[in-house]
Amino acid sequence: MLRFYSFRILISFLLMILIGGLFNVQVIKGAHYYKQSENNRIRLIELLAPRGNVYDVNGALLIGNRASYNVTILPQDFSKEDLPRLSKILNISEEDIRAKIKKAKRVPFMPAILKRDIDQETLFVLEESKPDFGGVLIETQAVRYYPHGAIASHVLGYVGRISQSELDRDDHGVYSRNDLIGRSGVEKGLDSILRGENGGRQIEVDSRGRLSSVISERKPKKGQDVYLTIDIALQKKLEVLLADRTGTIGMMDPNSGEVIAWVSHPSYDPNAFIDSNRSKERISYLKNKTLPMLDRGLMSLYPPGSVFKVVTILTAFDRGKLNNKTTFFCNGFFKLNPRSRPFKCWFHLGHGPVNVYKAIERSCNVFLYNLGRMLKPEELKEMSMRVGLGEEMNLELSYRKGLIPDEDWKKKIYKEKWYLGETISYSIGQGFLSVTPMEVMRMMGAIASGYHLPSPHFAKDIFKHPKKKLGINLNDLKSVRQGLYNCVQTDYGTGQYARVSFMKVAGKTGTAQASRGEDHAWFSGYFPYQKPEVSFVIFIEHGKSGGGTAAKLGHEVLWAWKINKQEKVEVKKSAVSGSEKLTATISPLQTNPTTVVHAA
Amino acid sequence: MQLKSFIKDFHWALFFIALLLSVSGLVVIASASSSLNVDYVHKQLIWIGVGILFMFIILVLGYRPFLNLSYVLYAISIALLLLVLITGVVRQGAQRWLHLGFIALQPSEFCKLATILALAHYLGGKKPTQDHRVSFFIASLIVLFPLAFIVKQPDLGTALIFVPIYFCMLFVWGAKLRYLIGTILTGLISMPIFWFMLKEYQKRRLLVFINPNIDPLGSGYSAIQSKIAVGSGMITGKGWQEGTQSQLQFLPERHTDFIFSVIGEEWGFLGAVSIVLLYLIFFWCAVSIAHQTTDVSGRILVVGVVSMIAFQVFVNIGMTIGYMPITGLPLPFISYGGSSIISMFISLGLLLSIHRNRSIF
Repeated sequence: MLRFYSFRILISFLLMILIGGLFNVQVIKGAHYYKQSENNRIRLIELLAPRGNVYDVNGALLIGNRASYNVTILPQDFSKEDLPRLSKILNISEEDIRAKIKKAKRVPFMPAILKRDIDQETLFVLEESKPDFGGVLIETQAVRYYPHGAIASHVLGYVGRISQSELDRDDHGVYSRNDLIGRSGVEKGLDSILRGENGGRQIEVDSRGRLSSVISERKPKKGQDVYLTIDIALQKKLEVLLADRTGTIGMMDPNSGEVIAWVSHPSYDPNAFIDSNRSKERISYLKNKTLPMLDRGLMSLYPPGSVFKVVTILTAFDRGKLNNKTTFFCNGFFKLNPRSRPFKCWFHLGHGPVNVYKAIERSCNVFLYNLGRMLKPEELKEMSMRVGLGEEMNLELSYRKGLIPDEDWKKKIYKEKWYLGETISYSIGQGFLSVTPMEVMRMMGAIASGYHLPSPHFAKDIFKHPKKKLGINLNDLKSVRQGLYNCVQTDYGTGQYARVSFMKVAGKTGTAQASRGEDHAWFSGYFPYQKPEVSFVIFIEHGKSGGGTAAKLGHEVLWAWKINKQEKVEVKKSAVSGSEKLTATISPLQTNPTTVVHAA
Repeated sequence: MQLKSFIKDFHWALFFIALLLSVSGLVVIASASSSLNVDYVHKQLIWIGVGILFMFIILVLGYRPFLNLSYVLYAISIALLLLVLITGVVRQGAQRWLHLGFIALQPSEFCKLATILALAHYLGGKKPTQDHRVSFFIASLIVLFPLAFIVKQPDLGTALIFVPIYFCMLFVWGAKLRYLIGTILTGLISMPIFWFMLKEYQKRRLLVFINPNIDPLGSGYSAIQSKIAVGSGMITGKGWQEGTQSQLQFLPERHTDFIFSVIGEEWGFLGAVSIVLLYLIFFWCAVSIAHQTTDVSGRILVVGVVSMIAFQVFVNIGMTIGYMPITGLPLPFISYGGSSIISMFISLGLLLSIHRNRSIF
């Protein structure tokens, strides 16, 4: 029972503490707090943290910050008489100012932004007349700046103001009302890293609404800097090559998965989303029918066409339906049975007897049709996924997964069974199948590496990229590689236009039927053949011909890579020779004194 | 006849105090939400109605079936907590809510009750003189299990309430003092681990409690403004809907967590102390129920329920005058909110039922 009484006493004691506390706050200090509430002059100023910078692989600045000045207003401290003058200085109509003040009153005692990013002249005028304006403040804010304009814009992305729904959804204290949030590219994908920690300031204002003292402050913390794997010098060269064609060029190190260049055209200038004066440009980007905001390499699905033939061949190897000596005769077309409609080879005269090397080299459809007849769609899907088509990626950018069909998929979507003819189309990369250029580049990277499936990425040391085993027989891969080599390096190869004098290149062309309009042009592969450093993809939307358009562009792309590499070496060399000169001048001092004596 | 005994055995005082608190709550909500667009008063009225319905159901069924089913209720409430962790909606940075179509439920609110029931049931069946160590250990596990899930959500306020409930119930049961002190020491030593489990904003809230200047825009601001609100009410208060702090929206969440700041400002010291005294009478009545009952489980159950409500009152009011960190615990019977109101009336139903069946055993 003693314990029971103790419990009763404890509970009573707790409430006594509260009564004592209330007495202290309300009776003893009541007058003090009453006065504070009467003229509650505490205002809240938010200090937005600058976002982290973004650099390319060599340390060149890709995204930075510049200072901008915003005019803000504390509605309760602003007197209406100042309205006409303020409107004149800021060049905003009085109605607009009134509307903004009305909106701001919903969250009182926090300033609302009247005008963003004012120019120097306005700043001076305002600073001079500031003592006359109660409740008008000037805040500096770091604003995003993209020094390279439209170059690599799909990789970098842009930022925008946070919306109310995003604000409600996210974690407490991470975002605030005026915050910026990444809208695409790494700005979006790495937002949590790039964004800093906002600070704040409690200030006290005097009776005229001017700052009288800072009560407390928390400094904003700048976001983390990020280094990308992109080489902006190479990127620029490739952007020039793609020019006004619609399509993508990508290059990746197949050993590490680092994407060194990633071009998608048409593109946009992210600065237009920062500068409030460029709203027309923004709208034109968003409404343009050519979809410049779309990263075609990651967010668009296309039929891969003949590029997919390597997957069909690998599947046939894997399932024991094909070896290096298997030969099929191509007379220009293929029939499932004597009465069925013929599937045509692109070379209507026929390739004659074709083995696996020749099939890849000349992109013979009939050879692939014969393989397709022996394969199930599930088997093709399984191999596709193994080389990364339709697979997950640990990417910093938004991406879509390719559509890799099989019987179950068709049953689910079309409520229809799978026809053998569809497998025949499937085997040459047509039909339901559609992939992204990134996936094709990844696939070629896998073939180049041989041991693992590369995990493509754009940022250094941010995400983890564990090596995933490829699990494909090396001899099978060797045969495919030989075919890819022949495709570029022999005079019968469909990719011969891409050939360059300074190294051997492996690749595969593709001319894929588009659902409407001209065919899409593909060229993808890797180089140097013996010791691959780069896997690449070139894709031209409605480019008509893989061998004619894409491979031809490939030739220039290869040269651009070579020139870029040379320039890098030269830069390095000049740096090294510079330091050599330096050591040369120092060396006499370092020489052993005894030697000097000897020489004397 | 039955009705007569029902009326006779009904603890009118306890019920009326709860009702008085709820009505006061409605009045304050009406004032605090006058500038908001949602009709919180009507919604709250419905919650109170539903709560009283639950209360009577429990009174008719008696508290015994609930004790007997306590392990099942306990398991269900933990399953609900798990469900929240998997599917729950993140509101204000924590997953506490379960969406059931028309209403959002806060399972941690009901988990408190289920845990108290389970603990009362377990301890009621064990004598402190036999197998003391085992009983103590298992009782601790019963509390620790849901506590871990609630910390994970994270709902710091509710988690903190579990601790005094646990100590009070075990203390009254008759746990050895050195065991209780040992548990406190273990808890203190494992504090750093606990610290790392907290989310950034929670750490900040705790740090803000020590130094409000760390977060001038967030909870530090609320702490200062709330104190100004309560203090400025002085002795007699500014009057209904006259509180400048409350009406000018200096205060966040003034119809839920910070409702007492509005009471303090508009009703003054006299009003605020009246509310505290109502709670005090409520607890005294409740404790005397525990005193009268012959059922050990029932007695421990009362201690659990009373300590739950009392510490919630203490933390919530203490928060508005800067004595406690800002944790987001509702003020029992007064704060707006369905889960809180219903669980409070369920608690009341349990108390009333223990009173009614005090001499069955």
